[in-house]
Amino acid sequence: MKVRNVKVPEGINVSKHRPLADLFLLTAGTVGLFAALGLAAFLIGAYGGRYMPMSWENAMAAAVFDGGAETAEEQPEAHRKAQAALQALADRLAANMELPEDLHVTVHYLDDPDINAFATLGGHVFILRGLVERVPHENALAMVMAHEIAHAANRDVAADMGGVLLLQLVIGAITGVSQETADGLIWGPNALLLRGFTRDAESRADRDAMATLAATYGHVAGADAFFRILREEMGETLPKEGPEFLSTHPLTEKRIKELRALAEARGWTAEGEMTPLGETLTTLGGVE
Amino acid sequence: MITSTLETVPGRTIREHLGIVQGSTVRTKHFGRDLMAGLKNIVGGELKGYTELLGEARDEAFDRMLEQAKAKGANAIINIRYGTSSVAQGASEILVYGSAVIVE
Amino acid sequence: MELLIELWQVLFVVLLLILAFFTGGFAERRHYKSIIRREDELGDIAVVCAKTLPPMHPAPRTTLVRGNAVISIDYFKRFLARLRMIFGGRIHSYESLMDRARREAILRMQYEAHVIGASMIFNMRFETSSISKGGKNAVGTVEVLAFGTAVIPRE
Repeated sequence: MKVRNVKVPEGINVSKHRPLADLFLLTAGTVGLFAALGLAAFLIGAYGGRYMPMSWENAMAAAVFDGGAETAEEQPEAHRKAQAALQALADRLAANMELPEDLHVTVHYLDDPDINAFATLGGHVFILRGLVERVPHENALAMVMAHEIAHAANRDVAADMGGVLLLQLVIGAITGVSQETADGLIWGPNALLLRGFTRDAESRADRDAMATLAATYGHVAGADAFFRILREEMGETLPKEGPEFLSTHPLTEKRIKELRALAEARGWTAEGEMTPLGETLTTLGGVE
Repeated sequence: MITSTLETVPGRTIREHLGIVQGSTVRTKHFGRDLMAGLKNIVGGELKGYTELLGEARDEAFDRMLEQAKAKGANAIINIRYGTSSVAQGASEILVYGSAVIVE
Repeated sequence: MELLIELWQVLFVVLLLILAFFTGGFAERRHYKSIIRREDELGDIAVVCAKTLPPMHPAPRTTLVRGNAVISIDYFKRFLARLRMIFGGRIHSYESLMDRARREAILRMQYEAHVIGASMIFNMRFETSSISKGGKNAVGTVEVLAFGTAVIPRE
């Protein structure tokens, strides 16, 4: 019997590979996987939010706005009158809209110079002084208000909240990062996907608001007035709007065109008398 | 003392089996070496400190086994095996055992 | 502020990855070169797993020999491995780690046998253990022990 060592060739137990290509593929795969997970979490959360009973949403809103009613009582009379006038307008618009059974629109007037309005949970709509001061007639204000009520009626606010909440939860569970960082992650890379989601909601709210205007005033004249103001305002502060996929709302120019096309398609006339704003709303004056 | 992983001692006959003998020791890594090991964990390569540490631990376990064998009156240990197990985070038990025998 | 700190942490990881990619690659190539050279030098000491010696006259002297090596993988490869663990499959970077540690351990055992004038090693066995350092997934440092019976021919 002979005993001898015979050399084995290299590379049988060690496979040849390119580590950098591996790193690239694995990183891309991991990022893709997490983005897909995040998107799924958002969509599931948004679905849950959109289809949860209106009474739940109202209960949540009540928990948040309980203190709000008391502070409104302490406001000066001009403020309370303005709020009452806005509420009256909202009620007139809401009468011409298809709202979920338990949805009651509550308008809050905010003494703030920003040209803005927004809807939150439970049909609470906020109208800022800057907006009321800039709109030329009631029709333009009605368009914005109907748009915000449509968001509440379409359950966009609840959907958004549900989606973001679940997404935060998933990000927190996977990475263990703080909520602040989770927010950074949500509004960072994932935001492009989410923005498409909110853009669709905006377009739908625009369409619903137009229909409400047509039903309330018999025409849709002045519907785009607010967007024209917005475009002028943007022209002053920003050189131009970014590409649409980066933005939460459809581009202003596009929105105006879409509204015009919708009016033509539905046979709503764009000619008509504008309703002036009531005295309460034209003589606001900032509460110093 | 003849030590071997074989079951026989070439050219000799086993006259008597005296049962197993074993030597073991539990060691943990050491602060200074750990510091270097931390660096090596980044750049890669051999952790010489750990290699030596485990080598010394095996020497000690082996010596303990020899002591047992001597106490039994053996002159050879056959079929020797090593074992390593981690008993706690960062601590290892080194074991060496075999059959103590008397050969002619 | 918190975001800034976390950005720094990410940058630090990236820098470590780049550093480890170069140092780890260099260490591995140098180690393989050394392994191949020493395998040629010690090639005349045969290592087998058989338990029965060939008939030799006079009967040879036998004694236990061993060699061990603790090898650590670099940060870059550990990172790759951790990503790979999400998807499953072959972890290329650990294959070379195990290969290097085993061959290094055999070489050290062979060297010990060479010093005492042995011609071959019988009934060689491996013992592999992972030295975990801290965290739960911190596999990446292994110890391999090779041991066997050195056969020393008598004149």
